[in-house]
Amino acid sequence: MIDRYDIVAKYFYGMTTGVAKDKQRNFGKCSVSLVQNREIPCLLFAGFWKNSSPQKANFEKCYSLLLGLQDCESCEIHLSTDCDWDSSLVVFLLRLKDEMKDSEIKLDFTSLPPKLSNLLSLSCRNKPSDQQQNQNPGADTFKIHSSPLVVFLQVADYLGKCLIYFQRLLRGKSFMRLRDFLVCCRDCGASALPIVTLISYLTGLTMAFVGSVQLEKFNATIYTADLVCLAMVREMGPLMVAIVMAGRTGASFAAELGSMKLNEELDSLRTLGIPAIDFLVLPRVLALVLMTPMLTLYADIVGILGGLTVGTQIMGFSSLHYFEQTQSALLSMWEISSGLWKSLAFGLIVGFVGCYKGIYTGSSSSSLGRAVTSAVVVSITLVVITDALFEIAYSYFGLR
Amino acid sequence: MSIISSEDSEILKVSELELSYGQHVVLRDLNFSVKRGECLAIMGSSGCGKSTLLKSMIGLLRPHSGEILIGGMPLWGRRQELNTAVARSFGVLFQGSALWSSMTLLENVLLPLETFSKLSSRERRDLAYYKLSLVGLSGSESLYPSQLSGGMKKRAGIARALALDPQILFFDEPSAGLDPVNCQILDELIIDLKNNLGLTFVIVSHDLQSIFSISDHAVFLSASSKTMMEQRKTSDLLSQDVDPELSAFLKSYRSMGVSG
Repeated sequence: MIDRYDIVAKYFYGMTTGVAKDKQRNFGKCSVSLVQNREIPCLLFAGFWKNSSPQKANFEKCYSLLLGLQDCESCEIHLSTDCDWDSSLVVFLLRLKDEMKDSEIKLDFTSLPPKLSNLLSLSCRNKPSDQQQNQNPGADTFKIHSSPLVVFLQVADYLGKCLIYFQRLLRGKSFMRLRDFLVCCRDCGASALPIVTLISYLTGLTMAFVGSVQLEKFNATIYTADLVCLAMVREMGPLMVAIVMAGRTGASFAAELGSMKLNEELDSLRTLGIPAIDFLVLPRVLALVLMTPMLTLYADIVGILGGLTVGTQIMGFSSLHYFEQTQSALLSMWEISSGLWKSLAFGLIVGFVGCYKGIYTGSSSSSLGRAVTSAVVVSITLVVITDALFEIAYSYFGLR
Repeated sequence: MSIISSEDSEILKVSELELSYGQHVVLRDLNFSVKRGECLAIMGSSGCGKSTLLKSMIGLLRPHSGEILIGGMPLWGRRQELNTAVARSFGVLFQGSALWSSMTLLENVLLPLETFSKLSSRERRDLAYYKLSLVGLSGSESLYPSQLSGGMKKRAGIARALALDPQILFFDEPSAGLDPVNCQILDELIIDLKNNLGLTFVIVSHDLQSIFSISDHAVFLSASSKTMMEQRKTSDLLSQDVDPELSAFLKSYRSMGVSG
């Protein structure tokens, strides 16, 4: 017995011109045509119905063809024998079925090849009913609300715990290991020396160039030494080191603790009764608080050397003259220590923010990426705000 | 150093436990217990709340209500705060082993000992070497977790869980991500530890082959009713008339033609 599908397909094969007659020329084209010269109209799919097809099927056109049918109750769906198809045709047919659900014209899929009709029925079978969809908990159920109040409480909880564990450390009851602290000191201190050297040297050099051009107008180029020295120790040294620390160390804290959370390493600490803040956050924050002022002092010196390079090589001062001028600019130790106090606060901010973002990261790898980005952005923003607050406070109390 | 009294035969007892995420109840009316030296399997299909139940039993998720007694002591206090002394009396093997990646295997096992024991450094090292040799990892002490295969990571995880000589071990999907050979090696290791050290095991798994080979009792969590079926002996699961949902769950095991 000859399959009904084959007869219909062969019958229409000759009628659809330009689709399958010249296979070579029309390779990659898909077509759908409405054949109406029969008792029951029929929608014929032919050609290349694949995801990789360069020509996309026009659903609206097909849909309007069907809606244009008059005085008929049903429409058969056929596939031409040469039709090459994959899941894109299945999806097309399912969409058609869905759109025509409420229409008077019923679609008849019985003439389709068994493989395709199986795929269609499989997809319909696995569709959840409306009732089932209502039963499933929505995404909102598990959403952790990040309203400002919740974030504020979380930050307060984190800082409070840090304070408690720091006080335990002072009483010698901490889980923090000296070795972890020393490793952190090496990672955020000594390892950062090359980048801090480069950045602070170039900062000092640039300031000397910019300053000398202006001071030359007043015939006071020697004051470049004062400018570079004061700008470095008061402002640029602490700020540049803080920015390097935020981008380098803060981000690495967030990434390290965040991936530990994803790998359940934080959970395994908690089940042992070792608080993550005590064991992981304290050594990192303390190392950063210790190392940032030290790096700042180093950056101040290297920045002044950058200025010295311009002073001696471009402006022609002697090294001794330049140093004497630098020394005279530093009226007291306060000029240096005011910058170091700032850097202490910056280290604290970068350490706290980096560790906080790591520990409170979500449970996916994309949230880890966001945590790292946000650790850097929030640290730098807070550092700049704190810097401004320090300067305002220094001026207010007459310390400048 | 365990706080668990040895007379008490029911080492873990869960009563009227209800677990929820916010307003969404995950599981309710959970009642089961494990006797010393036995192995309890908690099974169920994906999404039925197995891991949530485990989280509350190991002190990572506060239960909504109910009680978890470990060696007769409540794990969660009256104000639902974690009783850390009780929490330290069990070991946990996480699904991904959760070894601390910045430390070698030896350091991983040493950390709990360094933190909670008053032994000398030599004794601690000897203990750590011994625990690693128990799980067949002698000679790998100086390797980092990233240098290990999946099966070795699991065994290292067990060694770390054993570090403080716990009376009870919780395993989360021990066979997940392992090939059949490594699965069997792990099952044999669990049986060895159970027989030789007299340890109690609570294993969360949906690997029926493994459940039937190592566990004495089983609790089946039903995703539809959000509670548990009656606690049964593993050997009775196949012989007795069981609930249709459990029966469907066991179907694949029955079709393999293996008897419990």
